[in-house]
Amino acid sequence: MSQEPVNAESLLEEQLVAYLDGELDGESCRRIEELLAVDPEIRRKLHRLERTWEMLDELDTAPVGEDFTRTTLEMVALAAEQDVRKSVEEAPRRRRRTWLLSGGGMFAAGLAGFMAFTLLAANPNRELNKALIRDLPVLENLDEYRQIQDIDFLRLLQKSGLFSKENSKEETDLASRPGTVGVKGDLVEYIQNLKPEQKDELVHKRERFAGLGPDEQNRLRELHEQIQKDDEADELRGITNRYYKWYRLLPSYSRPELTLSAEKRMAWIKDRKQKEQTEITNRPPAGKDSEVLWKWMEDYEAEHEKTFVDKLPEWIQKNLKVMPPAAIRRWVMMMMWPRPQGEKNKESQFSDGNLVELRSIFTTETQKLLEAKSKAEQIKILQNWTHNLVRQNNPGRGPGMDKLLAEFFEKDLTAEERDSLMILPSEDMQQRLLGLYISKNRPPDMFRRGPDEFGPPPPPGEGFGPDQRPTERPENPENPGKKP
Amino acid sequence: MVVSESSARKYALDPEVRLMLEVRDDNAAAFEELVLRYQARLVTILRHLVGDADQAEDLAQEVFMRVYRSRKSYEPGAKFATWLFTIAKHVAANALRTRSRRPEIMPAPLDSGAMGVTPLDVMLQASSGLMPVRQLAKAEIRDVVRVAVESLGERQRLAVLLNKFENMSYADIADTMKLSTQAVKSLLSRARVNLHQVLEPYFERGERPTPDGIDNSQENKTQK
Repeated sequence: MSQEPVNAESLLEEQLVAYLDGELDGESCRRIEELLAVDPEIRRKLHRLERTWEMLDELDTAPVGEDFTRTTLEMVALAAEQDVRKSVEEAPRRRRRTWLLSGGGMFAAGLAGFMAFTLLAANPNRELNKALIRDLPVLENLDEYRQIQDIDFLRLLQKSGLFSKENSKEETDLASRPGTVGVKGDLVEYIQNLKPEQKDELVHKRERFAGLGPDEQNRLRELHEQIQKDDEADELRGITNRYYKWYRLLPSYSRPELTLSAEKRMAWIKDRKQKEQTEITNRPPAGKDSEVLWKWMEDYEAEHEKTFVDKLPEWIQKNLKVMPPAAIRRWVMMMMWPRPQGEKNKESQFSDGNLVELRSIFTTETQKLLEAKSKAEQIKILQNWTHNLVRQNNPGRGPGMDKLLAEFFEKDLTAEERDSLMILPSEDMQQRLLGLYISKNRPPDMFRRGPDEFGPPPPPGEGFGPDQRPTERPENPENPGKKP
Repeated sequence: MVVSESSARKYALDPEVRLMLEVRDDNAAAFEELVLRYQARLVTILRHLVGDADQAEDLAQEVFMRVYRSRKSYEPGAKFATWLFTIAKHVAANALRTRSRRPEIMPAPLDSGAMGVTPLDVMLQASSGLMPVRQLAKAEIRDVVRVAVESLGERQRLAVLLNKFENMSYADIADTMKLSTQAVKSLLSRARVNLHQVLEPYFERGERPTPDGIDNSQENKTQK
């Protein structure tokens, strides 16, 4: 780059300006001050430069109003939402699923959602925010409302008394939701007070709601209005919530179809509830029994974790190795006690020794209940109890598990299975995916014998996996010639 | 940009760098905080860079959008303000390049309102007796100084604004403008001399400055 000759005056001006700006080192400062002391012309020059600089104080600063802040954040929020949509649409399937499963996409959506919620406080009159506020009560109850085909069905549920009001924590949660009778005040304030994960969930629900189509959206809106107007709105909301919680615990293959008429659906529900009452297969034991059973499960897991993991496919073992011990324990617990799958895994998940041991730790009442059942019925009850306890006590999967599930989603599921998962609510989707993972990957012979009766793994093609029907059982070493 | 570990540690102490790192992790509240802290300063700088209040707001929003879009690749290799105003410099430079200027006015005149009044407004109000004399003088001075600043070359103007409004050191200005410290020193020196040349006739004799009253031919010869 060319460099023009720098004359002495320019150099002096530079030094004077730097002196005024406090940018000279000690030695240079001293030299300038010596010059100033002896040369009045240099003093005048300094004064002029200083006065010119002070004139800049007359320049106005730019006041910025709330409108600027709001529109700036709105622009970024819209950009964030577009980024989320674009990434979901264009990313490779694996990355898309991983992102969705791990919640990564929710961060960006949360940013957009958070900013959208922030904007609400500033200007609730914007059209975008009007729609959000209008549909907020529906969004908050989206999953529940989706399972209620119409108000007539809801009134049938009410009349049946099967989901009547209970004194439980859920009542408090419902009372704080928007659209609940008795919730006063601003929906904007409600949104502002949501925790970040709640805002994320609300954004997710908004996306799902938007994807439903106008007919279904209007149906849900109408249902909400009808509930709101009812004299017993509070009770109807409670019933909706309890019904949904019960419904979600049902195995997906046994859930009543929404296409059934309200009466037929109600009949199915009554029948199902009656079976539950008499068989107690879907409820974990209460109180002390629950505690002792869980302790037994934890001890069992600790004792057999290594054996269990060693029988898993190589690639799963490799992934487990990088997980922290607590995460491995959680994962093994889930695999050890999967949801009972009817004929598929009813065979001896518990050995005779396990049954005796377990009966001995329960309360007298539970012991009597079990002893009155056949061995197969006892096993079925224990399968349900252990599985439900795992779900109850083992919340969350941890990042290691998320990664495993993401890989499983991409590698081992068919396109139809993936599509059927994607339309579910996020929690249902994750539970269902976990169930599929467990059913396809559990070591086939894990519970073929009791804890002290492990033998070598069966040859390939044999075992209890969904596609591995046992062709010939290995002999029971304690009773040669007899199958276990 | 590859940032050394020592630089990253050094700048991580800057509270606004820490806010930006949270923005990198998709913390919306941190982003909002940065917008609130910098919006007025950014609009002020841009307003004096491009000479248009409305455009300054648009450009400031573009700067924030760029901050958002580049959040994932952000590494603390400088003070946050330095990084932000580097982006602002690019945004302003692009705007000035693409905007066609009217030859008789440089820059575009201010509108009436929050950013100040035009000389015509000043005269009208004065003639109506509504504006006190002192306020009249202040408004005129402000207008004169504004024209003087906006008549500087782009780089001198930016250096002056960063030094005056952001209290940036020569080193920080150098980082922002990708120049050497010596180059910044020269820029600021010439800027002040030029400003003095423009303003002195007004304060000595009441002669108002004209936008093209400054020789900026030295602007492009700044050593790097």
